[in-house]
Amino acid sequence: MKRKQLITFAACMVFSVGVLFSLYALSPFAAEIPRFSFERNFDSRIYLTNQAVVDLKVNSFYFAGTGNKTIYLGNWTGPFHLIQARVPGLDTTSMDVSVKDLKIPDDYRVFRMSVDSPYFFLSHGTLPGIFKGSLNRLEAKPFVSNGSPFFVDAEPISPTRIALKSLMKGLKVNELAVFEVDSPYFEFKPNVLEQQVDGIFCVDGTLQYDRELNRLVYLYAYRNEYIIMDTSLNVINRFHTIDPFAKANIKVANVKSQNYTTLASPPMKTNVQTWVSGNHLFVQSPLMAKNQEKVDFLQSTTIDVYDITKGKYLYTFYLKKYKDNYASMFAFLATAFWPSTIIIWSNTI
Amino acid sequence: MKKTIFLDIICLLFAVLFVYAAVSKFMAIDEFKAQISKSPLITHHEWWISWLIPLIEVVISALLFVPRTQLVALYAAFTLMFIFTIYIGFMLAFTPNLPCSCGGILSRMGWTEHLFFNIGFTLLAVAGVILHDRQKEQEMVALAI
Repeated sequence: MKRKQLITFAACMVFSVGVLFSLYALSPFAAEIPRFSFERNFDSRIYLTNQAVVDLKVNSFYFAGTGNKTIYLGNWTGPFHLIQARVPGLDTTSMDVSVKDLKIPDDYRVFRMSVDSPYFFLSHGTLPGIFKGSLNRLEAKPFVSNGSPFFVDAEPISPTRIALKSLMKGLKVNELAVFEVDSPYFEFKPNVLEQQVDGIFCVDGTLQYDRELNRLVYLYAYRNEYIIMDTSLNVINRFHTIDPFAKANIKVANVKSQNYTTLASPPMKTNVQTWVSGNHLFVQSPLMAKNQEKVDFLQSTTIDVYDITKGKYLYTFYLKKYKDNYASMFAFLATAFWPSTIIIWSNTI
Repeated sequence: MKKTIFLDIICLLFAVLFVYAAVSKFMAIDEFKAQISKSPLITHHEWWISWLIPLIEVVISALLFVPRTQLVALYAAFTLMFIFTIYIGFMLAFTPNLPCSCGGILSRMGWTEHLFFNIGFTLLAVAGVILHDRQKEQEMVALAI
């Protein structure tokens, strides 16, 4: 290669790096981590230690449920695979379930396993299908014989009842619904989720059932509110998380040429993942508070704890990184063990 | 004359790639805009970037077939591919969610495949420049004789 060519190529490369660097400098990457106007309570001084560690080898496992001294793990890429880990030693047992008369769809990664011992539920919102079986026989049958409605999220409440989040066709909004084995089978509960922007993305959140209190908890992803419901999805209380975001801060784009709606610009999440156990709601928050050490914030996952019987914020603690990875998911066992908790890490690479 | 054929093939490959990518972006410009706005490097700038990129792609394709501007176009193609390559590398290394917005079947490629695809095309532009200069030299020699 000639000198002139080398110089020109070098100039082109410098120009390219310059262009990308300006994009970078203008992007949120280069911005300081914002501190939001709320304070966390670190008085609890909870420092978790790893009491037992299981190497799951792959990063496709997720928590499917907890039982009496047991943790169940489902797997996104092996939807019929189930692992049972017993505390405190975390000795694991592998199980494979079967589903009667099921043709496995191409998008089998959508399947989600949910264990409410002695039953397990396997759900797929776009198939759509919900299958139920017992952990003793490991064979699942359709939850309701005449089919399932489409849904976004499913959370078993009892062996005969499941809470769903589904798209209401006419209004094009997501609502919660009850799905059960007896008539009327499926019924929308349209007054639970409250629309702020588009009715689909703005009501995103996590749906979890608290087996000790018999309460269903829905926590919005983009605003500081969670909803407590009874087993028929009647709203008992609407409580607030500690961050100041009452309005979902998202932008939605209508793609007219392809006729669909999508999120525009990275949305501002206020709550990432949740777990309910006893009186407690555990919330992973991506927001840094006024009184938080930046190093702690960056080196760990921040978990806020709420008392869902009173709607009160209790305290915050950290899940430290393990082998330089953040916890990809967390679960808490019955309150009897708290705070001497055992954590299974399923690390993403 | 063999070298000319190689150079023509390289220019043609770039033109096909760029025109295809540009047309599929223009056909669904609102979708392209929505997709790139999700990228943390681009967000808030999508309104002009979504037009500029396909425009540059079309202009480079046209300039590749004008003998006087071919060399400039090859350098420009190199620069654009190099920008895309670093962009992908950056996104792979630093962001957990990877939105894809390459247009048409190009978006079927995974991000890692895309990285190698782009490196390939970047090197192709280098080969194009070398071939172009050699050809120029031969013409000069031919003229001198």
